[in-house]
Amino acid sequence: MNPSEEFSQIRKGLLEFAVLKVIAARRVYAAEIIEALADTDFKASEGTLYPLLSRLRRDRLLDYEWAESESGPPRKYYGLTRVGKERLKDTETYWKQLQKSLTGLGVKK
Amino acid sequence: MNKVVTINLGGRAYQLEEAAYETLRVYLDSARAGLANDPDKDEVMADFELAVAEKCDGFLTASKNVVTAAEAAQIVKQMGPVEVEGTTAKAEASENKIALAGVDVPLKKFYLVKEGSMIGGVCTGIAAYFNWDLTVVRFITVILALTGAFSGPVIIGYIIAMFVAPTAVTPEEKAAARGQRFDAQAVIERAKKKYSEVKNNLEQQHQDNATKKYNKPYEYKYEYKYDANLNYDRAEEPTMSGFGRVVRGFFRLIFTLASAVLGIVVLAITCGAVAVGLALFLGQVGLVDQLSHINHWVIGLFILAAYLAVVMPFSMIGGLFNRLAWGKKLGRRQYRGFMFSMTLWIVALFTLANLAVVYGDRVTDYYRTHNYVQVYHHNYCVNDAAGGKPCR
Repeated sequence: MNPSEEFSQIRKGLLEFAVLKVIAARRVYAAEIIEALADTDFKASEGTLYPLLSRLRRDRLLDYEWAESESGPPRKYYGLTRVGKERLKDTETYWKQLQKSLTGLGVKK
Repeated sequence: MNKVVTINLGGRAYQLEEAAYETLRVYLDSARAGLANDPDKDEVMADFELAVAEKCDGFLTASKNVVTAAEAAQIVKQMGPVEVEGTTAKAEASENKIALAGVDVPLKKFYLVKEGSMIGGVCTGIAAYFNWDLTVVRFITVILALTGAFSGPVIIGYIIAMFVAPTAVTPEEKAAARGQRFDAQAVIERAKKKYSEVKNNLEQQHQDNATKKYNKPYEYKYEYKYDANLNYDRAEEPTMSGFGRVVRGFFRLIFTLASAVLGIVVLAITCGAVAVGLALFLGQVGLVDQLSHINHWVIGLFILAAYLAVVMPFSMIGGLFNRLAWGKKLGRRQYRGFMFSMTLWIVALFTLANLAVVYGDRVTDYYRTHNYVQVYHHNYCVNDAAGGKPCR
């Protein structure tokens, strides 16, 4: 894990991908997403995540439903929509393609 | 021993130390400003509040029910700065614009400003929008409203603006009403500016006093305390210029005179009405004899209704002028009084109309049958040349 600022742009670009992956696994609420990302390179805080979630919902990639919590106020549980699942699949495909291109580059023939 | 503030986060009450409240409020305000372009701003703000609430819960136990300043700082740190995608690009773009134009063009919008307003906040809104002296704006508005050709458009425009224009409620809107930027930085800049002004004034004052008293300069330090409620809008009410003071004095004089004249008119009409009423009931005026077939009480009612119909508008306008002259606000009581007068007036007009419909024919018949009209005509139209004989 490299916490330096050098690759912050790369991480920023991939945050959406990471969030979609977390949500695809199971229905989660915002704090759980933050928890899931906390130990990865994609460590994000509410200040970054909430506007992103709002944008993804506007793009119809995900949706949420309210659920009571045993302590405290009710929570929004997020899940992927059909469009969101397609987007995740496309991104995964594209990610693999990127990796392949990068591996292919700079190889002496 | 710190003061505690109770706030509502997602429908639940939380108790915070004052400084903690301040920290969270500044954070949420800056979050709101950062989300200015997000169409789901309100929803995201509600999410932020809920997140703050959950984090507060983490610090509270059965034996500790107040969030401290340090904990609030920790919460804000955990939440992280609000980053909206595309803002970096936008910020760069606007920086370029600033570099090109040399000036930052702030978002400016017309709002009704209720602080210091008298009627609907239109004049205060105009004064804020153009950064004009409030008194001058009011003066011109009233003069135009009283000048024949402009009165219609001005009054109608005022009423339309009152209903159509939005009211500046949030700090952002209050800033936009004055065309000031609203983000954390701008707010802090304004607060700092205000602080240095206050500080300079106070230090100057103390120095002057000390010089007067001890005949030697005196060092006074004013400690800066951040204004917890961000009441910069009140603090920035335009200070009155010399011209403003003159205009205000003139304004005051005119309105005082006008309300005095109206008061005298009301008094005169009241005296007249009482005199006529007494005379009628004591049978001192011939009218009663001539109309004796109509109940005295009906005539009394007619006089009362006529009196109210004439007097009410005068007293309402007089009262308004009097308040305008002394810069008093129109509060709930004035509103109630106004509505009461208005109702009385309408009831009086209605009564008059009713009486006219019910008794009008009878009065006309009476005069017709008694040849009153003819008699009157004969008496009035006298031909001197014909030796005092009635006209033909």
